[in-house]
Amino acid sequence: MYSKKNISLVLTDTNEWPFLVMWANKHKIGRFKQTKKKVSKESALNILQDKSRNIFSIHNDGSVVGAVEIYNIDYINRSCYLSLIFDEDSEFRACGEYALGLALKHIFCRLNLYRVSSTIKLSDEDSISLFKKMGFETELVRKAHLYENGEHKTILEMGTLKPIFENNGR
Amino acid sequence: MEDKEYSKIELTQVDLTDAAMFKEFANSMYAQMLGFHEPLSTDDANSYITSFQNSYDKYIFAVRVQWPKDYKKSVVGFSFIRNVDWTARHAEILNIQTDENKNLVSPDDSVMVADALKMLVKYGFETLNLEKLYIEVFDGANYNKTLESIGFHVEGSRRLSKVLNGERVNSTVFAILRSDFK
Repeated sequence: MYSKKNISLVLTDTNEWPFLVMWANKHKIGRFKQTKKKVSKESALNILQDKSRNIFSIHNDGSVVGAVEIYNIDYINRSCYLSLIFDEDSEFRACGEYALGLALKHIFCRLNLYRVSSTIKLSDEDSISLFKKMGFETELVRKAHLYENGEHKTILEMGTLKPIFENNGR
Repeated sequence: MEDKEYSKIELTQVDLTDAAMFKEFANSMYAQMLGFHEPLSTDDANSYITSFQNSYDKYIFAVRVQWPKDYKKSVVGFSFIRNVDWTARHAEILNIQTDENKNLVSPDDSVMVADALKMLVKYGFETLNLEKLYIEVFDGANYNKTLESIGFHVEGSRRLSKVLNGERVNSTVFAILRSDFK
């Protein structure tokens, strides 16, 4: 568990599969990467046992307000992808920076990875600002890479490296 | 490097008879490009090839070349279309070909390799009906001219994204939309 102020990240283990089923099957289905189908108990357990993924619930004052997914963990190249999901935009504004900071601490200081990337919709200016603030740079501009609500959209792939995280004094 | 003339080049299905050749590629210095980090046995190679046969999101091809005066076709490499996202209709492509000395050949250095790459792109658009293809190229590999001639554009670079032969290298991602395919 990681915590800062009243915000904490709690690693989801196999006993907490109901949390994953609930999150993955909410109205924003598909927010978890590569889980576009409805998530059953069995698939939730498979996800939680997958060593290339870590899923955390984000708690604010004791309530679950979001989730962090660290996925495509490549232990050879020491890289991964990160996804930050909040129920409400207000929770994102209140907790996003701390939650992201805690997630980066897990990635660089616990998993000892070297590189983390995140894919963000071009239209999501708040997320782009947050990730830039936390040391991420836009590396790829991927046109027509996401299909949502009947149209193709552009996404950015932003990345940061462990030396940058360390230099930022995190 | 002198480009050897060939009569015909094809992308064909990979049979289990190609497993031995595939195993050579997978156990070569290019193994990391294919995602292999440990030596492959013949059984592993067979399993890997078989895994493509029942998959809907990845495709493997043998690059077969017919040389003048030869009756048989030689396998000179393997091509892949993988990570197919059928909703967004895009996929990653990869093409690995070597010369007679088993050195990796880049498409900018060989008409044969460039032709195989173009065939792969054509397959992705005209047979799989995809809308976008992309390829990740590591620093030092000569792909720029060929990719640009086909219609690819640069999406950006991933900093220090891979470890190849003990060193961290950057990679550049090129992409092409169906409408840009020449």
